[in-house]
Amino acid sequence: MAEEKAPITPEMTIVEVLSQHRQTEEVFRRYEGEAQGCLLCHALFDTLEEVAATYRLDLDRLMQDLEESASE
Amino acid sequence: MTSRELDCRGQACPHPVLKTKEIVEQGEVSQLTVLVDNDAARENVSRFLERSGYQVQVAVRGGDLAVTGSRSPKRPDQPAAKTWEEAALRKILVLVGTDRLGTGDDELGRKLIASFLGTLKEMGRELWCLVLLNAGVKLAVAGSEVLASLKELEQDGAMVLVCGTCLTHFKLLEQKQVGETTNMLDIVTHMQLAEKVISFT
Repeated sequence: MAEEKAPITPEMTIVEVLSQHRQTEEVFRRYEGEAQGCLLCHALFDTLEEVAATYRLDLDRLMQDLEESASE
Repeated sequence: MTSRELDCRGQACPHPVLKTKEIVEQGEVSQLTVLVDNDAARENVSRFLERSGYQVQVAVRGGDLAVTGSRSPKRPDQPAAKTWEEAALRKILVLVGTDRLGTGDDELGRKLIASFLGTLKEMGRELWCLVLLNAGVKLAVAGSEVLASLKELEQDGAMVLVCGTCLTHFKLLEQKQVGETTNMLDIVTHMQLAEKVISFT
């Protein structure tokens, strides 16, 4: 039986998301250009909403991309 | 009481942190050394271990960095490694929101902040946390005259927290030389935990 994983929420930190859904690493890497920095280096302990605010990212789009990746 | 060593050389973030997390969550490790070879991994592993209740020390080992987290708090032979609570020390947090001290003359203000940070070590181990935000983050980046003072404070056991939003605002994220990049939740949490907060803005 597959292990049940917590849904991704804006209050989760990047490291929490990665711990639950390893495959989302690719999503965070994809956003590096838009963020003009390495999210996985400098924002690992920030929540997704903090990351979106700090790096001026579209939180809804980020959440959607993460959810799509997590469901694969 | 077990000791483990984890070799994360050649690995970029987030891998060293995720591997460290797996071991920490097993819950039986009192001392964990993580070998890394890049600054981002050192910072993130250190931060994760601190958040997990470990006391963290970083040592240079060859050309690499050894981040050691220890959960064995009672070590009477090594009083310097005692926690603040065990040593009955106050936890003083100093918040610096400027790159110069006082108003009137900016040049004098810069000299004063350098003098202030150089003298801050006189607080001894009661200096628990130094938070740099707004223009204060400029003190922690390449070219700052007070880098040596900040590194000394960090080596003496004080946490140096540098506002990530502020670094991004000033486009200085890649130039940071000392301290941990942090967020507002971290800053507020540390202010709440501190027994005394001294603020310069």
